[in-house]
Amino acid sequence: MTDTKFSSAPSSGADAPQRPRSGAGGRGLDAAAGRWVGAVRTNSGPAAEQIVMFVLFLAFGIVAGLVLGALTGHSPGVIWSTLVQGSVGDATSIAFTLTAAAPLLLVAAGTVICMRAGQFNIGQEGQVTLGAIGAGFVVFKVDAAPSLLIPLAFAAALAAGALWAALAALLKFSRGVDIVVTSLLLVFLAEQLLVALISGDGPLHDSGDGVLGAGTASQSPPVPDAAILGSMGMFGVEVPVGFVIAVVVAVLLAWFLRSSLSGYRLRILGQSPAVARTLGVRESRLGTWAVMASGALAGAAGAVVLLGQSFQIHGNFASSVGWNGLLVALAARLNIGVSILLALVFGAMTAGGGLLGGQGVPTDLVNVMTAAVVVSLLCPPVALAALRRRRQSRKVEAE
Amino acid sequence: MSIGLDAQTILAASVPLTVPLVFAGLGEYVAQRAGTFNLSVEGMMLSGAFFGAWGASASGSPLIGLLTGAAAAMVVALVHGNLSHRLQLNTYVVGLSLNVLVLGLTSYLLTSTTLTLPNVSGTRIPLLADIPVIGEPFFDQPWVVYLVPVVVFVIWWVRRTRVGLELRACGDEPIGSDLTGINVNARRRQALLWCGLCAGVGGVYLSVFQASSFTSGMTAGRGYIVIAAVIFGGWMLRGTIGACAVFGVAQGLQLALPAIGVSISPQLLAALPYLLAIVSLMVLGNRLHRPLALGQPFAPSR
Amino acid sequence: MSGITKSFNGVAACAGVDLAVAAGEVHGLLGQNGAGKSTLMNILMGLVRPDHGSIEIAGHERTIRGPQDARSLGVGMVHQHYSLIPTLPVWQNIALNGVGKLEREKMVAAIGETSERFGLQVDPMRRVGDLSVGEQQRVELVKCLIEKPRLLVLDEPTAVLTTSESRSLFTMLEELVGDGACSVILISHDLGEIRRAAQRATVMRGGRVVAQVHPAAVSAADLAKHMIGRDLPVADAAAAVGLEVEDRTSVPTGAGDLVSSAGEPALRISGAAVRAKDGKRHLDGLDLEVRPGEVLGVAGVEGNGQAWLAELLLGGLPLDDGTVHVAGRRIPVGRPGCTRAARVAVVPEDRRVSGCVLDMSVAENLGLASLEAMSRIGFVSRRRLRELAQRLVADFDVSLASLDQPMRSLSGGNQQKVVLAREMSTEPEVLVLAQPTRGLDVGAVAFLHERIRDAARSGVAVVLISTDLTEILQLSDRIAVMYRGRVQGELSRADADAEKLGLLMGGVHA
Repeated sequence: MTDTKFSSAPSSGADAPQRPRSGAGGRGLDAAAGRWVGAVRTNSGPAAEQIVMFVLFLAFGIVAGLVLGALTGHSPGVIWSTLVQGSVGDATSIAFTLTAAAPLLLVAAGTVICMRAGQFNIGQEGQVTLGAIGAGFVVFKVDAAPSLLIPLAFAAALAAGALWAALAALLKFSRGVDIVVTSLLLVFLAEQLLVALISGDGPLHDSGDGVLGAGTASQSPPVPDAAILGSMGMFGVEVPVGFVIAVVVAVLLAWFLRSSLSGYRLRILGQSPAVARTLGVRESRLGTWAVMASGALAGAAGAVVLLGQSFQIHGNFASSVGWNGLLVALAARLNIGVSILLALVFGAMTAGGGLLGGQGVPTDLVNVMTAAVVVSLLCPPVALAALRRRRQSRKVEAE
Repeated sequence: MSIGLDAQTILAASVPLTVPLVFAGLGEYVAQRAGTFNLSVEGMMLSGAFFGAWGASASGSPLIGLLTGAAAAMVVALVHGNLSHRLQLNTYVVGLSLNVLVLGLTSYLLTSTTLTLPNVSGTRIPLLADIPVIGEPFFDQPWVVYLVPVVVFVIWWVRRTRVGLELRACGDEPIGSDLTGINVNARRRQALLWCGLCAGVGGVYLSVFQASSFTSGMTAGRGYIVIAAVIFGGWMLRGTIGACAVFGVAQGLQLALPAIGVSISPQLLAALPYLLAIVSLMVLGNRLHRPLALGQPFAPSR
Repeated sequence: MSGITKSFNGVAACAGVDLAVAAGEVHGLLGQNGAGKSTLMNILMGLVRPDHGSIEIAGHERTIRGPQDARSLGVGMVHQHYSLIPTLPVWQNIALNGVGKLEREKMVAAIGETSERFGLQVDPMRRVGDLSVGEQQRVELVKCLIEKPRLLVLDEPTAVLTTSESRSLFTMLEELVGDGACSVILISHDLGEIRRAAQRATVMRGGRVVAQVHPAAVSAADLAKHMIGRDLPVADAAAAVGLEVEDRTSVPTGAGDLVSSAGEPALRISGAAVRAKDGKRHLDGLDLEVRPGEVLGVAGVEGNGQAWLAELLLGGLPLDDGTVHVAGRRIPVGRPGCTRAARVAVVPEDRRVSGCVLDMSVAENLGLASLEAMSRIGFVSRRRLRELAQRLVADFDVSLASLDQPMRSLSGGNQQKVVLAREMSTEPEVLVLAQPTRGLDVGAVAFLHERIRDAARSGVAVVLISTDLTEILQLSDRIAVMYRGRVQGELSRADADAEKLGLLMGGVHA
């Protein structure tokens, strides 16, 4: 009767060869990642404790950046006030922050969807690129009515991102190749595809219309005015449309995950493939949909960047929106609400970083800071677990 | 133009591009055989490149640069190993975040330091360097290039020792290895450190020995090419080296082809490593010698 | 070993265990699953640290920190989960044990010598992954024997072997202990095996040593009684069962009537066979029939195919041979969800993995099986989910703070109540329970048992798979004992006693 604990003792994997594969016991990269997805949602400590930890480690990451600044001879006070000024100092700064946060949030929301379904797609960067390519084809090549241009561009971006991601899912469910690997490799394929399209004689290349000196750089033409995502005034801030879209999508997705039948099935699949199997959920189908959804959202992020931020495709036009969005979702531990918050923090840092240059502080400091925040936000579960263990052992001692 | 000259042009362009891939590939090969799907190899190379340049600039000696660079890359490996093997954090998440961290850190530090790198000229190996076609590209290179056979030999030799055996055991069957009395996570950390060392040397080669400068993000995804090389090489030593060579030549062709008047899309060549890796996974799949427990964390229950 | 105590999360796996093995003997270590045998041996190998107690080897007290330590003290163990690396050749696997330089010729020579001496044919150059299970065990044995151990531990060595392989294993063991230099601890639940091979035997139950016997001198029946417990409440069970019978006869849809009158069994499995890739049979011509209102107990020592039976009924296991009929209709097993669609409800053995989703709320877990029924145009109605959850929580007396608390935070008993409540809420024809009360406290066990009886009373066909004989005897109308993927024998409740069950479980025909 004491057997449940035995199954955690080392050799009582003992009867492993004698029993069917029950549960998440697959092998390989994806299975390992999938178990992590299960584990990441496990933290069931008191909510207050979790929030304190979150804020603490978030602050720790930022402080690490400030310390680095101080070590290299820049006043942390100046850095901090510049960052605050540049991100939330006035209406323009806030608009900047929101512009930078929008694509991150879209990518992060997609990442949450596929990872909650247990599909470890890490190729968002490539899917963003494909989204921009899709949107680019529409705005540069399609002769549509101006009012249709933006919807068409988004449709193309969604489709392109989804199909690119579907490649990875297809390889996983037909050939058993780990999605971690393929989605990663596809990022770099997408990068080369983009360069091929905007350089030399690629279809998206800006030939410069005969202007002297133009047409040599590898870049697309600028986005026509009719396709530019504008902004809408709210509370005295010009809120970019991209951000509004992103927030609406994120909120809808959170609701979808929580309440819809498919959302339920998706979460069951991610957290307990074994239970999902008994309920008749087919991983190959639902998993593919989840990966495609995440690809579509990353593609939408590509469109938002192109139409609302860079207005042109060039070599590094998306400046790692895909990677950063992925990290936002991971650091938020696959929670959409926290993702919104973190996307705003990241956006604020990007916006604030723009002003740092004026103070003689290299802009790259914010990249250090965001990465430090991500790394340090990985730690709360470990810290909480340690805390709980100590509390438990103290309780035992007290007895 | 003669074929010999063309071949020499291509080789001369390819060898310097292959060398960093081979170094890092030899590291990643070991890390993956021990069971870690190490994504931070990009960060390791980049920190090797920067801190190598910094060391060489501060001391004026490329050798010191090599040491500082390798050490810095090993610090990345150490952090990765401790976070993912000790604290059991997800290794991909750790790897990706470390890459971003290193990229930001090196770019930032670059702006607050001025690097004056010593010039490293090729060390000509007598006689061998006079062989036509292959002589110049292979045997008139900075001395660090000649470390490649040394590293290959070390791996080849370690593979036949107990340590090599244990490393492979950890990559294939961590539970069985644990029952046999192998400290799985310690071995995996050691493999990761070795990966740091090799990737660091590859990075130093890029900045100190080849470019004589450091630019922000100068590894430009080479770490990921290396991962593709290990996959395309079927997780075998020979295969990994071969794949690195193929990928290096593909990069070299981008430079050399315009010079000899042939045009292939440079993007296609740049995409080749990833395409080949995906295709080999797709076609060969299970026949590759993929470590059975690759990417699986091992949590000892003691 | 003396006074060994080890607890996992407050549950004692070993409580003050003393074990002495003399030189040159085969010492049987006998006990049911969870009796503490494996933990004891893991402590001996240094894989688990004891909380208390000491280990003496050849008169000296030793601390063993790991398998390397154990080996250097001359203790070797053949684990049930082999410690072999499938991708390496045999000689490298064996070499992993040692220290120092790897020398192939020397190693191969040593392997040849050892396998010659003990008649263990192994080819040192073959990859372990290409070997059959029996061959792998020989490799594992050579891996231990090559160190010339003083003490060899074998954990359920015959569980995976064919009869002739087992026979040659025991011949080998006799030779091994023959010159008195080596002793063997033979962990087994197979009574015949222990009687054949062991000079002395220690019987463990519930983490304690309950008997030290000379197995040759006692009957298999006595051994079975020790293993299952003299205090087995056969009488109590009979009494409980007797009351039950009266109860049932008073209920109109009583089991007795149904069993005799119903023509169609609710669940019929015939000739079910599942083979592993290496030719081992997980299920080997299994036949079962359960009628509505009947509780069929499936007893047997763990690892004899019960887990595969449960998986089959979960719908996740395609059959190589045989059929599964539910209420007369054949169901296409192997497709996820197919058995659930046929109204077979399963409370799986590992409730934490396949029974519930630990990180979802209690309410959500209660609704898992009836999500479709509760949703309209693709959205699950929160209100209906809550109503269902509230009803089930009240019905099944689940104690919790809030319906929204995560499943993980419930106690094991309450988790199991949630799983059972959920499965019952689908109004199944067949209810399958795998080890439903393992690791639960007494109160929860009693409650769950009552609910299982209720289910049968309401006409559900119940399959109770359990290694806990007390439970089987208390609940079942009929008892089928599984042995090596087959039903070794069936007993009616009236005929069943610990002795007969024990014999069947040990592979003897009663």
